[in-house]
Amino acid sequence: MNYKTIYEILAHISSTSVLIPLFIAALNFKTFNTSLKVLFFYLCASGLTELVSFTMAHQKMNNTLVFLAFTVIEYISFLSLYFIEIKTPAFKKFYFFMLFFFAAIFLLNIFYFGGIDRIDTFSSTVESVVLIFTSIYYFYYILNNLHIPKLNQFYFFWINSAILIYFSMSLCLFLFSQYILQQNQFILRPLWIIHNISNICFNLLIAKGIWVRRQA
Amino acid sequence: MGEEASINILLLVLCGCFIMVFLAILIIVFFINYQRKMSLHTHKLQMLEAEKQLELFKATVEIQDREREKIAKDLHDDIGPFLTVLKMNYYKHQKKANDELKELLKSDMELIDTSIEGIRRACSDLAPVMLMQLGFLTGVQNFVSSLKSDVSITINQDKENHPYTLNEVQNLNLYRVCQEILNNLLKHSKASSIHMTCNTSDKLYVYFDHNGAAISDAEVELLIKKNKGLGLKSIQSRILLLNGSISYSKNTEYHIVLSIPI
Repeated sequence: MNYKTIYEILAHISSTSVLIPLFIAALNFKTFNTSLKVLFFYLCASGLTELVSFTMAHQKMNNTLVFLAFTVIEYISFLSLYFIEIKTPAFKKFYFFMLFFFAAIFLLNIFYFGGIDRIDTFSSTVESVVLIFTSIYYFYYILNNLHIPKLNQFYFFWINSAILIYFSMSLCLFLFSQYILQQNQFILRPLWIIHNISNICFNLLIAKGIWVRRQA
Repeated sequence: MGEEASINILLLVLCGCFIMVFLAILIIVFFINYQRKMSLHTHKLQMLEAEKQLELFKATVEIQDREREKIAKDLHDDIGPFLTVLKMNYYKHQKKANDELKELLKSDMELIDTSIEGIRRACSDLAPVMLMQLGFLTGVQNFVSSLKSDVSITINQDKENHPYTLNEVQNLNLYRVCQEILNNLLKHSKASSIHMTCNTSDKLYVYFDHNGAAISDAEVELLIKKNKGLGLKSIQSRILLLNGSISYSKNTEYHIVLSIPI
């Protein structure tokens, strides 16, 4: 089995892995609080993005616009999750500031640097950095404000860990992918295996979080 | 771009990814450990607080019981003999008195008898002698027989009882708990019949069932929180001192169940 086959298999598993948390979430939607409803919305968008981008790629169409839209949805969804969970006035201010900051970066990248027909790795890098810091801040927030006797039974612990691990793993990829594309686009494929693995881990951890919430 | 340069970029990005993941996992592990330590610390503090509270309860109940005993002793040893001497003097004077005076003294005599009886009852209630000698159940039976109530109260002891021994403090605490429960039922439940059953297996169980209005555990908690159930709080404190438990229920066969380790 060569690395291309491994890549293909992992790409398919990664694309379909979103169905696991989506299925558990759909079954328990009635019991969801606001943050889990936001997460459900994100999972739907993620599933839809995978489906549309796969179809477009199959039709040999440029699907970068779909990924651009998904980056915005992903950023707003995750930041909103933290906005709901972290109840401090400072974070509320941070939330609105980061929304405007990201919008500025995103628009700057589209109109001046990348355009809409190229993968926007700059916004994804900014998104990763913001979300990594937010997830670390959330752990700090739990230690200071919440008393959780059994951490593994707290749904947002799993969701936060999923976000931290996924964006930490993907940060270097997003940071260097534009450079790699310019230098030698053939080595991007083996590197994208890492993204697929991190995406599978992310979806499994999210599924675990929703499952824990279901049992609580 | 040469192959070597490509491999270098590949390795660089791979290393970057793994370092980032390693750091992320390290943060999560650190967080889990720190949280666990904090939980243990909080648990320890709670245990210490509970222990302190228990000691406080113990001291309060002990002082209360000691004071009761002292008052009972004072009543019995000081006022009791005075009234007895007064009664004897009255007998003496009655013999010398004429018919009119005898009639007047008779009503006073009744008052002295009522006072002596009242003091005897108060002494028995404050420091039940029966309880010290024959155990809490006999004490409760004695208490029930002294009640002037229309409510029928029956006390049963399971025939297949395992032998058990309670010390003086345990007997007194259990007696006070039963007394408070019966008082509460008479005052608030509007029951016409109350059954108390005592049974021992691995623990000593005391069951209460009645045909009046029952109360649930949640309602008891609420009353205690609102500071409306002083009697209920006293029951809880004494049960705590006995290392036992009490449960209130509306729907089960027994409305109140006490379980005490023996």
